[in-house]
Amino acid sequence: MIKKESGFYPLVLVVPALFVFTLFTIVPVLMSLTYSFTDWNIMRMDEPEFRGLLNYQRIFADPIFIRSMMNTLLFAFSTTALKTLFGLGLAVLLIKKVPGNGLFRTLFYLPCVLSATVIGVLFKAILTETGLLNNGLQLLGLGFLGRDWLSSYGTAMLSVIYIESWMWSGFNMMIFIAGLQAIPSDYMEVALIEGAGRIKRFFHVTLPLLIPAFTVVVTLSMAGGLRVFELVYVLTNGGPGFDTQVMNTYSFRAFSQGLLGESAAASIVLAAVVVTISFMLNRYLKSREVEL
Amino acid sequence: MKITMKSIVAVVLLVVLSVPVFASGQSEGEAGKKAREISAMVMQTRNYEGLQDMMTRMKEEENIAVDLQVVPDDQYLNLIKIKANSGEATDLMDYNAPHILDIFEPEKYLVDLTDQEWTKRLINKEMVSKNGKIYAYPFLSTSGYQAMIYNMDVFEANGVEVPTTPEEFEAVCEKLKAGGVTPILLASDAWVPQIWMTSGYSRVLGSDAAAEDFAEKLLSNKAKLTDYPELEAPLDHYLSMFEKGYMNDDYLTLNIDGVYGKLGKGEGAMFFGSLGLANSIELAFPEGNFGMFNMPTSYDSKDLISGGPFSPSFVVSKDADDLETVLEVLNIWARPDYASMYFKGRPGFPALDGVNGGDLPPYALDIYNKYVKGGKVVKEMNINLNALSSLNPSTLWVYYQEAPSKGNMTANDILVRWQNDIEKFMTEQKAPGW
Repeated sequence: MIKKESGFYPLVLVVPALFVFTLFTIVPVLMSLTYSFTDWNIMRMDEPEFRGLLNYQRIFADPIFIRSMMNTLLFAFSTTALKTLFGLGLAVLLIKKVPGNGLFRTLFYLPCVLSATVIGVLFKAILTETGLLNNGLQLLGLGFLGRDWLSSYGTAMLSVIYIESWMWSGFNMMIFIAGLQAIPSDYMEVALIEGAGRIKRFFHVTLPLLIPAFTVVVTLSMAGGLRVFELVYVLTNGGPGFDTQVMNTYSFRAFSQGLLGESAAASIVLAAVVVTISFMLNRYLKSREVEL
Repeated sequence: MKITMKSIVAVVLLVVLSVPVFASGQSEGEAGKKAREISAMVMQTRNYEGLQDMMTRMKEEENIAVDLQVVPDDQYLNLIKIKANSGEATDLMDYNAPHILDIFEPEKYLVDLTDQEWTKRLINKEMVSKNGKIYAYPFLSTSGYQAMIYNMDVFEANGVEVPTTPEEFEAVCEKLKAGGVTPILLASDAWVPQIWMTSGYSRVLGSDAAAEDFAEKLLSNKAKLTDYPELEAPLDHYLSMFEKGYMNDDYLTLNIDGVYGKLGKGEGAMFFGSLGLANSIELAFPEGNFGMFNMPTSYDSKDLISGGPFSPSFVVSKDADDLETVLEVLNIWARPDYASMYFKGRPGFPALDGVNGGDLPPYALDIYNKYVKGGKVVKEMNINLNALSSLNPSTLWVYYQEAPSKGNMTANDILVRWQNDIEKFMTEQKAPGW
């Protein structure tokens, strides 16, 4: 009798990766979860005591945390929408074989390889009262629109949302371009023979077949948006006041006060939000995917 | 013999990779001393040119290198606490003395430096001592005082003189405002607005003894901030500067360098800061004419000035691998020729006898003669409330910016909110009395 071979590599090869993943991801998450139920404090690092759900009760009773949560959700949903729209638009424009499209693809992709800190510092200079934006508006005769963009909630939040969308649209463009290139030309030809116009072809052939790319783009954008930290930290540091605090800056704030248990609890809430929303979105989009 | 491309690449790689080895061997020979290395951590804004020069010279002359970790100021305190608690502290740690002696339990974490030769030359031993032992190597005997820095040319151009009464101060601000100059500049960095209050709280209480008594009671839960209604006066004064339009509109986004720029260019006339900040402005605008005066206020009839009997200092971790070298480094830095280098471009008051602190500007000497020699100095309140140093930047200092920008808090509201923060912070720490 011939022994049936599995055709897979031996499972033992997974062990090194599993070890690293466990050490640097699973263990810290479990430790964070454990500490979130304690009164762990930077002044008493060796003696955390169990306190049940008190840290969670406290953060949910804190108006700054609730504001942070709302800001995080606003940031994540709006940047996901903008990054997806801009990314798709750029992909549709640059999928065509026109001279210089390689250069444009590189230019649009470039911001996402830069550090968020560098971008934050750069835009902080652009958005100040005497910055490039207000000077530009002045030159265009629109000086009356000029303002200190980061000094009030509305314009500060909008600025952060816009900058994040600008940074990552190029990355999403690349995913959409790969998705568009994977669509077999037969479908388009059949639609063309059937008399479908450009718009009909886009909405009834291209978009449904792009759903797998949407799944990747939306899931990554949402998870990235919910975990925002550097950009907010550098641009507004959660201000003015506590207006633009997000969950990660809130957690960092608790950490900086030495309230390590509370900081861990805020991180666990954030992790739960990221996992839940990403999982639900992913599941919904997967159900809409079409087999090629 | 056939030479393959592989052999060429191998030889080139061998040569390239050997260069650092030979190079380091050569420098060891030049110095004639065994290469040694210690580690240190320093706050980003305090990695002064003078300090860097001291380290470069020590490497060249003594072959002792310092592996320097430069950390952003706002993360610094937590990082040294965590490193010390987890046994990973660097050999030397920079922070203000005496503050650091309250942050760490010196007997547990720090090396006792009392027997070191240089301690005999310390001008202000009390600043670096705890329980009768010396635990820090300071650079300054005092960091100076907090006062109003002003652009003399702007004052002259607008026909105003240094005010000596609160009424004159208001009149100066009004005249400057009418002249199209921003009377007072404020930076968005959270540590800047708080200078008004750390100075004001001490001045309004009137003496070091009263301020220390207040701090002791507050920190041991024997009194609340609201038991001291006089603390509202400096806050009211600060908030009124915004209401009257004396502060710059962009105080929420203009950073400290922007303030230096506006003051230097004459777009603003005054900035409430310290001697160290005045040094920075002079360095940025060497051709400028700047002065300093004690801001006259209605809440301080004694005309006191708040000062900072503290200094950037290095403490030695008990976890230091090569303690002998670390102590040798401090001895080298304490030599007058080395210690004087620290003051390059930043004149100040040296910590050790025989050290040249550079030429202090005339206004610094004037204030020194009038206030320091005249016994009219009170410690800034941050020193008395050092136990709250990791709480305030993310709470109280934010309120100082939030209150004028939103108009949502009175002086009393700020104090009540701060009291709540203190209660939670101290209770969580299980501090005595809480």
